[in-house]
Amino acid sequence: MTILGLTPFAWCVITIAGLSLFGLPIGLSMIGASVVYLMISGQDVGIAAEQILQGMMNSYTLLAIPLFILASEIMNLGSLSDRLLAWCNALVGRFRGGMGHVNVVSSLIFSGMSGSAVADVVGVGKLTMDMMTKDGKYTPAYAAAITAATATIGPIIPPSIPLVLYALISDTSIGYLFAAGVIPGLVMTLVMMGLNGYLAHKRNFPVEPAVPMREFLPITIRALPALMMPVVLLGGIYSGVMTPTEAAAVAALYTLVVSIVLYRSVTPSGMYTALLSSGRQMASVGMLIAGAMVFNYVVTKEDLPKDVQAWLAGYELSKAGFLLMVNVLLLILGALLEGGTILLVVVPILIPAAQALGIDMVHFGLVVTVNLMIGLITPPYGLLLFICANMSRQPLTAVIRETMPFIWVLIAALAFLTYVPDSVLWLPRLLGYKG
Amino acid sequence: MKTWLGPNGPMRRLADAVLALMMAVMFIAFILQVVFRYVINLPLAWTDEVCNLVWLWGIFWGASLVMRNSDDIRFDMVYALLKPQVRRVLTIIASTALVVILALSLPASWSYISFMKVERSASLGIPMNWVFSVYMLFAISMIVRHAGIAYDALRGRLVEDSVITQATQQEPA
Repeated sequence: MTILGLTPFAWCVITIAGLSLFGLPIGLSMIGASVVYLMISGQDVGIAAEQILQGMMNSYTLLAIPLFILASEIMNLGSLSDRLLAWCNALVGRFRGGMGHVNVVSSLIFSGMSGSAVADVVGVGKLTMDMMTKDGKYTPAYAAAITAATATIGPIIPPSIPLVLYALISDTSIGYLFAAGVIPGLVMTLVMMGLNGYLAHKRNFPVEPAVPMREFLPITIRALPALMMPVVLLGGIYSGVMTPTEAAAVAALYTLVVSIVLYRSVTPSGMYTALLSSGRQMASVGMLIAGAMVFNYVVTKEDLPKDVQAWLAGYELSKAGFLLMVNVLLLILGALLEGGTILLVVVPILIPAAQALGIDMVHFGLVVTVNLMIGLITPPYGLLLFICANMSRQPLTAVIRETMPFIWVLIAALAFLTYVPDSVLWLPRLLGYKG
Repeated sequence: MKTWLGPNGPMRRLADAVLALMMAVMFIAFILQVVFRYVINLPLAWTDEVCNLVWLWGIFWGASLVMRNSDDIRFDMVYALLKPQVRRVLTIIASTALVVILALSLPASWSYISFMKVERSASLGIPMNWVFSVYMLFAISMIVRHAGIAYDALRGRLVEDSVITQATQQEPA
């Protein structure tokens, strides 16, 4: 049936756009629009409830998400962050622009424990930002910018919530995706340390007093239980002993035990806050997933991926041309839309075309995720910009100005990772990935 | 009534506590599962199911009763730029549309969910219509919430006014 000459699918798109532009949450907009689609196309409206409920009950891998969220909430409760920062300072603080390097390295290490860029910013990011601006050593805008930029490493280095979502939509192994994130995360770390070093010399950033070598060992020992967490997590997954979901639970338990027994920094009320806050975040991302489950039913029913594929085939794109198009498309969308939405709504439409061109699905997943992370710091929408500007009490425009160089070097890193697939796939292949 | 159901009223705090409890149950069930499977070598069947149930219930319970309107992920770039009067009109339109759509879908959703009484969950044997009933709670509470938002906007109050930048909003990606 068509109404006003428009197909049911056109009405579905109009409803999503309308509801979400008018300020409704995106998950709810997708559910509402799918109901509209079902009604106009004369299908059983109960399909919406069925798709959502069955989909949620049969998505065991997604359970890793609340557990990763819980682990980072517990980590942010305790003094793990302080000890890790002391260790990072002992390691790289001695160079010019030292606190900037500390910021990058601590983001790298924290990304091995949490799966979310936002968790990194509000946790260790806030601490490093305070350390940088105390005594007026760095401008608050620069501190905010580098904190936002380095937090993008978080979901690239495993564990990673976006990569879990990508595994769901692309039917790829979480283990291999996680392994594929390691090198890209290190590349991003290197380019940002390089930029910070360059700016440090140009603007004459301060040098921290070097931590004497004899103090390095005790500082390392104090931080060691926290530093072991990524080892526990990744060891559990790659030894094949645990599923990623179980490893996430063990990681949360490990953090809790370390925080309680060794660092004595967890109170019952702190634990309650951590549980409630993770529950809230789970509900928030869960609504998005619920909306995507029923919307993806509509997309599949309409054969949209095939249309996109046919349309792209008309342009006779090469692999490189397609990837470039994806890069540009996602950079633009990433600056406007929230990452999870793009991942769950737009990327599934692109996947069949990528497969048809023979692009490796693990490689594609990393390209997409790095793209979306850059989107988190790209004006105007970039969520991390808002959070960091707010935490540092700086005007958004000042933070954006300082962030721009970081965006450029990250785009350069993205180009490298996109067009040299071996850089991404080397580690997973070492672990047995056939691709 | 207002204070009972208000932001810090006892009902709200109870709903919060239930969600926190669900998270604790999920966490403990996973730990039990790992311990029993790998340490004692005696795999448990019900832990997987408990985690799945809590995931489903936690999301819809949280979305219905715990999450504030500002916790949600939304596309507010354009919306934030508009004048309050325009925003109010758009809110009335969107929230009313949502109320109508969800209300129309209620009978079909209920018929699917009650039909599921023929199935039971694999290891705990809970009838699936009970498991899935949380979706009705969610749909009805969204109808009530958005009817309230539309009504407030009509009377000149707008709930989102204070949370436009959402700088402290937690978001997972």
